[in-house]
Amino acid sequence: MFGYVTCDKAELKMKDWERYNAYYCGVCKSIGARFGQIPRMILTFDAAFIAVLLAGLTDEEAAGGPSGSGGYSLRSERCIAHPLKEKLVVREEAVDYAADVMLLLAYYKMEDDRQDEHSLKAASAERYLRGAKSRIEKQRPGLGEVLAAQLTRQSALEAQKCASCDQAADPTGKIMEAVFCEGLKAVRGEPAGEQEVRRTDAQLRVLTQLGYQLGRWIYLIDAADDLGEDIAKGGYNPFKERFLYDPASETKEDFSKRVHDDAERILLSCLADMADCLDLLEIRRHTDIIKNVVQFGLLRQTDTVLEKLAGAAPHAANERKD
Amino acid sequence: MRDPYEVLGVPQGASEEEIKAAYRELVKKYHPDKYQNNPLADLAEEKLREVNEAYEYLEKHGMGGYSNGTYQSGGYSSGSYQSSSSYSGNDAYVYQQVRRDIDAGRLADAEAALAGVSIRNAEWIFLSGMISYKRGMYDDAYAKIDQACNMDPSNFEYQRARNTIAQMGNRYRNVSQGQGYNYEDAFCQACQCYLCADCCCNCF
Repeated sequence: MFGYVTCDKAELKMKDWERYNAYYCGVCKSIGARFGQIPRMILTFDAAFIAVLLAGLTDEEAAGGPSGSGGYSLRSERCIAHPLKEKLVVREEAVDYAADVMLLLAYYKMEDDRQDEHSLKAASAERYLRGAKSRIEKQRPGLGEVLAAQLTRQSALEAQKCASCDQAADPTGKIMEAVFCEGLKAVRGEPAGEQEVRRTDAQLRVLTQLGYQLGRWIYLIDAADDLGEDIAKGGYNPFKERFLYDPASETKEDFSKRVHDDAERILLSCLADMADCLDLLEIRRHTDIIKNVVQFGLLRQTDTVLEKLAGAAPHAANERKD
Repeated sequence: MRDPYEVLGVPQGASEEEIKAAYRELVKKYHPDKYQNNPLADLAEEKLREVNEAYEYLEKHGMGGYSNGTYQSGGYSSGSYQSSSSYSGNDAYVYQQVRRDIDAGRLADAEAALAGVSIRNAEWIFLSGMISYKRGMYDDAYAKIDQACNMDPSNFEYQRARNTIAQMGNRYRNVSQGQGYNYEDAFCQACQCYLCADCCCNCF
């Protein structure tokens, strides 16, 4: 479920591209500083979006979070991956929060891989991340509980070969919902005054729906992207069950072509809802980046995967930046 | 009341044209049609009210002379659930109640009430689809409402609901295109090559 949430660089202003990267580097440095060097490998651009969106909900002066411990800073630094070139790095509460989310997700992914594939690499990575995971769960109990419960639900749905795309995508939706809502609480703290409480409640409702649809999209785009592979290996795939793949009467290419239009309708319905939610979100910073991701980046990823389903040459399919 | 210029997102002393343009954009942004049946419809309505108030204020105080009517949200608000179908007996009553529950967002209640109806006709399946819709489960909603359409092909309400879901993707694509989203063509392929090269350069 990693790596699909990206911006569309061609449509982004240079300064916004730099800023987006500064958040990416910020999350990476935050992981490095608090949990050591190795977990930094798990980072994807998904984390940068979580950080930018949550940061966008606060003013720069308040970006240190309710505890005000970190405060906001933007600095030029070197790092292991780019030893020769200084990069801009953001530090603020939203960045630390996104780093925590990434670590928790990585931990559960490793746990899943270990159980599914009995992979030794996953087992040792899981052991390595376990300490960090319990520290984060202690600090952010709401998040940890939802994650563990929903991932268990997801395994159960997959084991029983759930034939509804919506049901299968529901746990990931609920996870992203919690990620954004807990995130808002983390960066804003308790709202003070009646008016603030009312506004925060409204924003939480918007974030709940926005996060839910983003989570659904992440799950479903991953499923659509892996469809060919899942058919070849005989693994579970919601599209396979929902649209009744029949190996006796059709090839996997024919099936992919057959589900193309439905997959497009399903994937874009998530994005359409997300875009409507975004219009109701009170964004104070980084508006252009956030809109770029929702309106261009996610659509670009969708079109790439749809092309793959339609049988176009699998060039650059699911291109990810490392 | 909040600063009307801030609400409309224009600088103090903006021209009449600028204010009108900003107003039109915001009306489009918060349009009730866009949020019909969306659980967040009330938030959009509230935003629109704020925008209307700000515009009315500027109309009276700032932009002299201009007196076109503002956008009325009243005409559009809900109204979607006036049952057009006529079912007899107890079920009709239950369906009315289910529609009220769906409208008010009491989805668990609506679901429970539906579960008590034994005859699963087109209306039953349609309402079940609307519950999925309100939950943001658009594929389940589409499948059910499509089934309801097939069972009762003359029902316009079902057809309209099905089309709304089928068109969501296009609505989203149109906005992206309007803002400059490029579909892959030869030129963009060249761009991508450039971007890849650029990414490599970033490593150094």
